[in-house]
Amino acid sequence: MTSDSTVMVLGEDVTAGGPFGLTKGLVDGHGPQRVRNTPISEGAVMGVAVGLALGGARPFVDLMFCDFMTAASDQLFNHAAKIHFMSGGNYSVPLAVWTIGGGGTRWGAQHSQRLDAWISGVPGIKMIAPASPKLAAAAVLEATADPDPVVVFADRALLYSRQDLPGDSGSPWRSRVVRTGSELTVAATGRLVHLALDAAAAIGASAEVVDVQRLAPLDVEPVVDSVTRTSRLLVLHDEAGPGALAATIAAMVQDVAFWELDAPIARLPSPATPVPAAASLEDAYALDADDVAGAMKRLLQA
Amino acid sequence: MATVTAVRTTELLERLLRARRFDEFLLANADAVRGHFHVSIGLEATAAALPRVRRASDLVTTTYRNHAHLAALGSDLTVMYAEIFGRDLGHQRGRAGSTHLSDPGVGMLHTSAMVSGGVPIALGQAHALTRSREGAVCFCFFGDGAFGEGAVHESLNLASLWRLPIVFVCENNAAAEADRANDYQSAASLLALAEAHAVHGTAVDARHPAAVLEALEALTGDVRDGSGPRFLDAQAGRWPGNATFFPHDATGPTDLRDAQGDADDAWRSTDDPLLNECRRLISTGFALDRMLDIDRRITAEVDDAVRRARLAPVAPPDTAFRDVVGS
Repeated sequence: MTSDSTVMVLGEDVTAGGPFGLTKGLVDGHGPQRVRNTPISEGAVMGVAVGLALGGARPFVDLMFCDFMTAASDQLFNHAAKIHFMSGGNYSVPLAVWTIGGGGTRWGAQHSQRLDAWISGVPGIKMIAPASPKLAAAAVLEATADPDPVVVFADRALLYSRQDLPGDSGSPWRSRVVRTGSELTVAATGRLVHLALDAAAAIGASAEVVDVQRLAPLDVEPVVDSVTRTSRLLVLHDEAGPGALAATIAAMVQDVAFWELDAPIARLPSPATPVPAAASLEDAYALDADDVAGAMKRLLQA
Repeated sequence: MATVTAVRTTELLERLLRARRFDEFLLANADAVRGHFHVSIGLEATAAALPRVRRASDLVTTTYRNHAHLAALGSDLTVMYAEIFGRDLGHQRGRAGSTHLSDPGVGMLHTSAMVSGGVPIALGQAHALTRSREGAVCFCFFGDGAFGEGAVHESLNLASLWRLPIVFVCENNAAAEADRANDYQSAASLLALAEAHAVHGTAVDARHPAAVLEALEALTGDVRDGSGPRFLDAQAGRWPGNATFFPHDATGPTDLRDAQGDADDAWRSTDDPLLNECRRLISTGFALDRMLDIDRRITAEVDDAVRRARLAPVAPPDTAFRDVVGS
């Protein structure tokens, strides 16, 4: 914001830092005109951001929870995503959206889901889901500098994590290998990257773990590359059921690497239910290290 | 009033004709259109008033019923037809079509086909104008149906809260009920809904273009002075063609001579803003023959535009896959 005066922050309580401290202190250096508190009007606010972007500003919208994407979706999906194309390439919509998704906080079905497949499935939107603090920071900078709408999707479970990953100095625009191995490949996003690393260590498997952090356009290249060496693939994703992005990742890999595989691609998405609130229920719902370790063992024996 | 100059000239008439003949020729050339389109017939008064109050740096958002705004603002008619006919010559190279017609050259960067879709975007554009261009405003056109969408109410509130330089123009052709704005609103009037968000404004009989111009000039002046957003409830009549999905022959091409004497239907006798403007000009001493001359000139221009657009090459198939993202 210091180097680019066109960058603006919009969101609920952003002058106070937002509910998670994302924008803390920004108003002190840049003032309430550039760090703007908005009413609880996600639809209109996303539209304001689209208009600002068309008018030469670079808006950064703190959408708080991805569940609120439903309210903002007309402007993000029907307008921001399509204007560059529909204008015949004449106009761009440089719009950054920060949002949080995923469970583990007992906040219930409307504050815990992930909507990765929905968001990433709309042409014209780019999406990064960082799994480490350094990549999250890099993703924010890249999203703000990009000519197109970019959604930075933060994992709720990693919000206060200080856990670095190997290769953190790389680009957030590429998926990446964070652990090398020879027996199987595990493709994961967000907190599941860390879970996969823990599970691999726990069972002593030679697992190659790929952090699939660029969700749109979906970057599976390092997964394909890895599978040609390991011949086995497990896809993890914190999204519900058969429509989860895990299905697309698996399909894209088998499109080009089917003959490299020694076993069917295994998928471990979240169950196809809304995310429950009670601790006992959410724990039963959420993928954990045991689930991942079990899936890895089954795949190694397949 | 500042409108004196305008009401003594044929400026409004010319813009009304440009819009009316554009849509009439489009209806006559509907065979060249794939997909649906909407015409502005009957709603042209607001569009005709706009160029008089719009400055070069002002922006405009409109709706899927956008032809009159573009035609009145002087957008190239051949390029407009080309976009509607799916030709590469269109401003958006055929990717937008009638419902998303826009032209950056007249301050219209994007047109939403979602009911109320352009309203919050207008706020953002107005906000951007405050950062760069003092006194510039954004004109935001939408229909009465948009009041069914939450985005309009959110936007009225936000525009008022932030005192954005925006002129909301509701092109309202819904029939009012005894105690309600229309069949789908519980509020007494659309103006009351705007006033609830402290967005002040006025209602005007939009069957009469000169009255619309006067109202729009006053409200736009307030907005330029920094008084915050304003709202115009432009109450138009209903063109009979809007009652059917195939409006081609609802009234036939407009005949300006109907402005003389007594027509026997509501459209020609009271509702048509074009005929009403002719009547006003006649009452101030203009000869009908002079208006017919203007009509012939504009009709020839429109005829030429539609012919040239029909001959323009279609959008090449491979361009369907370009420009999904900017980088």
